[in-house]
Amino acid sequence: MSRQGVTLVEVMIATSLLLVVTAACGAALRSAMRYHGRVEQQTHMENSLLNTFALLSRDVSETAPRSILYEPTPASLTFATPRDQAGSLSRDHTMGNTLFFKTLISYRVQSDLSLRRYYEPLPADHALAPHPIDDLTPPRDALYFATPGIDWRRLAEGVQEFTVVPTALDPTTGAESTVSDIAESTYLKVRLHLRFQSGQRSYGVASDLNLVPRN
Amino acid sequence: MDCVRLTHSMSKKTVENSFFGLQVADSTGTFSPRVEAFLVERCEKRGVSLLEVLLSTLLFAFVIGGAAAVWRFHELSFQKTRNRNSAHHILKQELDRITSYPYVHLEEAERDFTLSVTRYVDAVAVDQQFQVTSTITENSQESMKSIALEVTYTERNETRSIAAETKAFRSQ
Repeated sequence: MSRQGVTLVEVMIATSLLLVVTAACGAALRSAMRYHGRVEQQTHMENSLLNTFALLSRDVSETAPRSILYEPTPASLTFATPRDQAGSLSRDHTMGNTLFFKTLISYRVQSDLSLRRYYEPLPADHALAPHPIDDLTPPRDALYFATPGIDWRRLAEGVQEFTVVPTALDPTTGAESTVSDIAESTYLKVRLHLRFQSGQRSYGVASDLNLVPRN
Repeated sequence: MDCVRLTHSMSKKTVENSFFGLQVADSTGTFSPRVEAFLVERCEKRGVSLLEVLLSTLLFAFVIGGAAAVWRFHELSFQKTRNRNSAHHILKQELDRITSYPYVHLEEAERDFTLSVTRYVDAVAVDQQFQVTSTITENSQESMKSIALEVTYTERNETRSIAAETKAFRSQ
C-alpha cells in the first residue's frame, strides 16, 4: 500500500527548518534596523559638526583677537561680535561704516558633553571689541554663564574634544608658532571631536579648521 | 511498483510536451518510454547524487554571494550619499556665510580652504577632505556681484565636485 501524506518526523524537520530560516531573517532585519539607526546617528552627528563649524567660522571671522577668551576646562570660547540676533552687521555709517560690537557669543561644553552657543546682547555698543573678562562687568566667566536667563541653543552632543590653539604666522618667514596670548595670534586652530556609542560600537567624527579673526 | 504507478498516474495528468525543447511526452500527455524509464529509476533511487549536491551548493553560493554584493553596494552607496550630503551642507553653509555680508564688503568673505573631516568607526579613522573655493566678481556697471562656490572632494580615487552660483545686487 502506498504511503499518503507526510510523517511526523518530516513535519518536525520542516518546522525546524522554517524556524531557523525565520530566526535568520529576524536577525538580519534587526541588524539592518540597527545599521539604519547608526547611519542616522552618524549623519546627524556629522551635520552637527558641520553646522557648528559654519557658525564658528562666521562668528570668529567677525571678531577681533583681543576680544577672544578661551578656557580649556571646561572648554569654552567667548568673544564679542558685531552681528545682532537678526543676523545684521552693526555699522556706524556716520563713522565711515565702522563696525561696533554689540553682542557676546560663547561656545561652551557642558558636563553632559553637549556644546551650547550662548548669545547675549551687550548693554552698550563697543567701538573696540571688548574682552569678556577685562572689559565687561560682570566678567563673562563660567559662573556668569551658569546663571539661567541667557539665551542659548544646543549645537552638538557627545563632545570629546573642543580645543583652540592660538597660532601666529611670522610675516617674513611664514613659519607658524603657537602663542599663549590670543591677542597676538594670526589665526585659531580649532578642533572639534564628537562621538557616540551604539551598543558595543563607537562612532566619531572630528574636524580641524583654521579661523581668522579679521576685525 | 509504487514508483511505476506513480509515474503512470503523473503521465495521465497534463504535462508539457516539451521540456526545454526536448520531447518528453506525446500529444496526449503520455511520457515517452525513455522519460518514463528515467522517472522510474529516479523515483526508486535513494539519497542524492553528487551532481545534485554540487548544484544545490552552487545555488546556495549564488544566493549568499548575491546578498553580500547587495550589502557591499548598499555600504558604498551610503558612503557616497554621506559625502555628497556633507559637500552640500558645506556649500550651503558657505553660501549663507558669504551672503550675510553687505554688498560692498562681499569680497571680504571670499576664501579658499580645506575642511578635513575624520570619521571614526570603532576607533579606526578615515579621513575625507573637502576643498572649498569661492569667487566673487562684480559686473562692469558695479550693480551686481556673482558669487560662485565649488566644493571638491575625492572618493575612491575619483574627484567629485558640486558647485553653486548666485547673484547679489547693490539695490538689495
